[in-house]
Amino acid sequence: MAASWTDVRSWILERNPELTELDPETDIIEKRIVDSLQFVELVLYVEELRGTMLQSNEVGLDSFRTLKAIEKNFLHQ
Amino acid sequence: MSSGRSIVVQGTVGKAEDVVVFLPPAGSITSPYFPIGACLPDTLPAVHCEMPGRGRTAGEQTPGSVHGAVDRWADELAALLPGRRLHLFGHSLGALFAYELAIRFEVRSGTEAASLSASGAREPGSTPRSLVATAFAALRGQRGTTDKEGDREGAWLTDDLRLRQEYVTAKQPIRAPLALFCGISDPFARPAEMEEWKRFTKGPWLGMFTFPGGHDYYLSGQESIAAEISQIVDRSQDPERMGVENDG
Repeated sequence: MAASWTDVRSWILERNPELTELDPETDIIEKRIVDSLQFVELVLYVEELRGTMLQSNEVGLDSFRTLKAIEKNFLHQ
Repeated sequence: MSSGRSIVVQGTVGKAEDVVVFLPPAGSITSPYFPIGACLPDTLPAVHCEMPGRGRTAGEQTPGSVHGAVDRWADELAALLPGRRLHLFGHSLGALFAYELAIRFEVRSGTEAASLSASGAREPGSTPRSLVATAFAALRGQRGTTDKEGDREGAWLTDDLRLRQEYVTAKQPIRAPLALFCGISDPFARPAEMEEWKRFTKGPWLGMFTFPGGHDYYLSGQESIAAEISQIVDRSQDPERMGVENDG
């Protein structure tokens, strides 16, 4: 089964026990839901979900701002 | 707790023969390992190497390379802990520091590298992933200008990522026993990837120790980590319990 934004949500919630819910349109960068290290880990996790390596020119912040954006840019291709 | 120039002693070294030496991960200012050191037995002191040029050593010169940092710590550790058996533990960039430190002590007389515990890092000489630096730079581009504290800490991390990018090693095998530590879901260094470290020692293989969590697994579960380090020290004092022959 193809990965989706819910996989990414589970990953973030697992690392942020104080969070119980995360809307797929929430800006996780602006709201600082992920810190610097988690953001880098998230990029590597998305690469793993996608199953192919990400190129450096794909790693723009806007592509990772929301769960839906991550799904659209990396998981439904 | 007392401190030298870039070394902080936790506990009392006194006449202890074995000392745990913690090497810092990228971006750290104060050692993040104090909670682990606090869980070690009273008889097992810890010393923490901190990166010169930041935090309480802000006035000191910042090393320009992995080798520059390690040379400095090696000199300070040799002066502070002559004749001791050092058990080196380093996470992420710290694992590379620990490996290089082991090399230094194997060519010096006196202080001994009694074990190497590498955590959360691929093997020395592995190609650094440019994606990591790119992702961090993208985030820092937004946050750095709005958060002064974050900006300063981000600057240290950027500096340390550069050290990692520029790090070159002769890939010299060491003689010290090797243990590996890893977060089960650490995307930076999977347990299977870390097995490559076995090629870097001719000494006994002490095992792979995995813990729940990602790259920052060592910031929780400190008691378990300290217990494994303590076991490693105990085993190193008894050749029959040292470990299996390294097949790497």
